[in-house]
Amino acid sequence: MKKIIALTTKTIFSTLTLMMTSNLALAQNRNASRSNENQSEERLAPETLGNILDALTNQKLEASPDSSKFVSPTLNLNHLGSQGLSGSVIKDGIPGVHGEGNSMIVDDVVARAYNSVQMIELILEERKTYAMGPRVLYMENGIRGVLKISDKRSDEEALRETLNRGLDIMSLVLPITGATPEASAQWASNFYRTVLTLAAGLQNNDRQKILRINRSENDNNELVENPERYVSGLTSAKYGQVYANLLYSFSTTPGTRAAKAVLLMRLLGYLGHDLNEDLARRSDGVARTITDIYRLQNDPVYLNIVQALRRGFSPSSSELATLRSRTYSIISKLPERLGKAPKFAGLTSP
Amino acid sequence: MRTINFKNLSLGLIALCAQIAKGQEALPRADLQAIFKVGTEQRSGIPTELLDGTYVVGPITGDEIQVEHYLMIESDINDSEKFFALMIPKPLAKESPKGLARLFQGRKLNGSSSIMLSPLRIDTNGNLEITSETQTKAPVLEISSRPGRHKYPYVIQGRNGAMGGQILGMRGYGGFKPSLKALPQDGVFVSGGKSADVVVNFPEIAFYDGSARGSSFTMLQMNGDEGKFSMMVDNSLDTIAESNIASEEIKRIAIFVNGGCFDSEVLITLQPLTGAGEFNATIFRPAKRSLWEFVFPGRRIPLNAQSK
Repeated sequence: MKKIIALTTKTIFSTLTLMMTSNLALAQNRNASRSNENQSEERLAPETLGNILDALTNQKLEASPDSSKFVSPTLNLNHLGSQGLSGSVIKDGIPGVHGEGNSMIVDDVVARAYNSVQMIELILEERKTYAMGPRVLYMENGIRGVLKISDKRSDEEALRETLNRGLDIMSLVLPITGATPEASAQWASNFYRTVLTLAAGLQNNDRQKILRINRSENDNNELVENPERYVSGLTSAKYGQVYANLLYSFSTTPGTRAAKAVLLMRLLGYLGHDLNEDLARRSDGVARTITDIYRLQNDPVYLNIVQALRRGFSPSSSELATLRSRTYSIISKLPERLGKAPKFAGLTSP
Repeated sequence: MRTINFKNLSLGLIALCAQIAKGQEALPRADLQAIFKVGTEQRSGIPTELLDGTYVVGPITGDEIQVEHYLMIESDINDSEKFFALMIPKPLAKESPKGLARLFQGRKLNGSSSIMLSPLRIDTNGNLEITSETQTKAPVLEISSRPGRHKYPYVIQGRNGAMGGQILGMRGYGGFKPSLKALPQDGVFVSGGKSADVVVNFPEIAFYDGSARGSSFTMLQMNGDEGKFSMMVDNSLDTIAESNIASEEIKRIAIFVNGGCFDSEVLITLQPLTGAGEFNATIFRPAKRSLWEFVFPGRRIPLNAQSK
């Protein structure tokens, strides 16, 4: 009997000790995770600061997105090595029946098999075979592949611009989306999907042709007043409107203040750039929007947000609210000033 | 030159003395910093602070609202000043398997002691969208505290037409607090025969209504690893790829609630409706085990495996 009592007491004691230690461990874990959360709320990851600083220096109206950063002039298939084949095999082509020594050279075929839009369609179809996280990387690599295929085609400038901007924005925003990996992966994947869809719809919209005429014959009044007589397709201002609507709709999902602020600042930079490049930049509607963006970019609230990000902190919620409100005011006037934005599948305007 | 200056100075002093003697006051000075801060900081009123947990929303002025609601709150992991809030009608918790639920993101109003509940909706891109960030006159709820001891220490105002523009009261839930959960204890839920039954095999959630083509979703955590709300995206089992393949567009929201207003752990799924922040909520309760199953649970190890 005594033995049984002793055994029972021992068991109860050991259970209690176990429970206490596990509770202690749980509490420690919670505290640790809370302190991590607090840090992530207030301070941005140090490795992202360089990118953000670089980005913010390019924020002004004059800034043009650096397309050379992403587009390589020559077709380079080395990136395919990461898809599961060894580098040497890819270099030599498809291995033949007699091994690597008798490989078939396929570079010439691969370079011409798909055009940009067909490749985008393929990427959108193949993305479904990847889980959400790897899908973001797959689409990122896919976009780089499309940029290489598109190379310097004159009728795909708007397509390349869209893809380059997508990569640029994601490289800045994704590292500061906070402690919600699953929601961030869903957001990023959806963003790339939308960017690819928009890019495919922009083939043959010869925006750069419009820009070239604008640059060379800037003083031709008739051209400035009646651009439709000379060129067809999406004007630079219309393109800016479409892209601003896209970025704004992706800036209204739950997330960090820093990510939202960077997205809105990028929106303003791109929109200002596109409007300033438009033939009708001196017309009332375009000129006033350019001025509104210029004024906002020199507003103390905007500069405070830049300062906060430079120092590695999140902007305050009241400053972000002001930035959002002013940005909304600018883009909600665009239909009245420029006319309705052209519709693309899967894109909404605020 | 010096004599003139002294002369002016002495004349000025004499004039000042004369004005003081007449009883005139010096120019009042203003605090410029305080002037430029007006409207940005709260200067009076009780600050409204809401902690994570469950609140009861009910009538404060009369019986305009038909039913009481529960409001469940969870902090936003990415922003300490914000939180997610789910409002469900009381009958949904008690007897009805379906009802109208509302999902919000809460945030402080600048220069005020109030909190704004902004509706969350799923936009056409398939993203979760905060309605107050897409329109200036979004239908939102404003929560403020009131001094004194009342049944409802918080007041909820329906702004821009939200909740029919009513005034409601809110208090902390007095009973055993329900806990929101991201992971269920049970894997099989039933709807009571009115819609499909559900199997939860995290992160997959599948609905079975007796047809060969059931619909299944992947649950993605909306608010980080410790968050309770899950976004449901379409998925399909690709048997060649040997994995469940999810799409990017959010279709529904899922949450598991244990205790409190519910007698057992339940699964609530939210299907978006056209109104901002409005969802069709369906409650799934765990499949009941028979007494036989309870006493003799299924064997986990086959007999022949044990003998080895």
